[in-house]
Amino acid sequence: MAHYRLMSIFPPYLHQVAIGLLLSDGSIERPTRTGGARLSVILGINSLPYLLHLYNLFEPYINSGFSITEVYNKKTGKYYDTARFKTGMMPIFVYYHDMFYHYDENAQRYIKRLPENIDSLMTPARLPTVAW
Amino acid sequence: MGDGNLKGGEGIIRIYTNSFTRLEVEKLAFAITSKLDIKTSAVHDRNGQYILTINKFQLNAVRKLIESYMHPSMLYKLGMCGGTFGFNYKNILDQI
Repeated sequence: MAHYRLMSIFPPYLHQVAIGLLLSDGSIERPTRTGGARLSVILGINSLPYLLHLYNLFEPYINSGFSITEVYNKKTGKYYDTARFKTGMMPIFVYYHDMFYHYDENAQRYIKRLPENIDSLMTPARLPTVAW
Repeated sequence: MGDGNLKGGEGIIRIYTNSFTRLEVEKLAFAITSKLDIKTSAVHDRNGQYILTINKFQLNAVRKLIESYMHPSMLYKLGMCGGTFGFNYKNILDQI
């Protein structure tokens, strides 16, 4: 498992899934501008089988289990169950963070953006992750 | 983004890209259209937010293109149920 964590980029399939996720519900947290980063995935409870599939794919990078959390939606005034997992904080996620985030000096935080080279990133394998 | 669905009964695929800017959604629509040959449009949703739509005449092409990559639990979102179609973990074992 350790060699996975030392890679600078994911193996081909994981690379595609990671990009698809970052085009959709996935996010990468990077608390400081010089430290490591981690992947965070949160889906509705109805998508639990898919979340478990993603959890299994990224399992070599995960230090803890997945969790189910109830969240309040201000718009609907209702509570919903969500399923989520986070990877450990690792350098490999900085590569993907740099691809999808820019630092907004005014907001003093990272903001997600579409990669400039989205044309070359789009493949059939990514569309399902993007859309669903 | 994510959370795509089929518009009830009309066969229109909607992909919710609300967190991206109009320009970004337009670029993404162009990338899907040009790279995957699936005609995709950026459409205003609400409050200055944009989503992607793929018209019903492209539905079968989308299904054919991505069915082997979709996790079986998500196939219902394309109106495909009752089988695992082309997805097979064996096909990705050497790439993960």
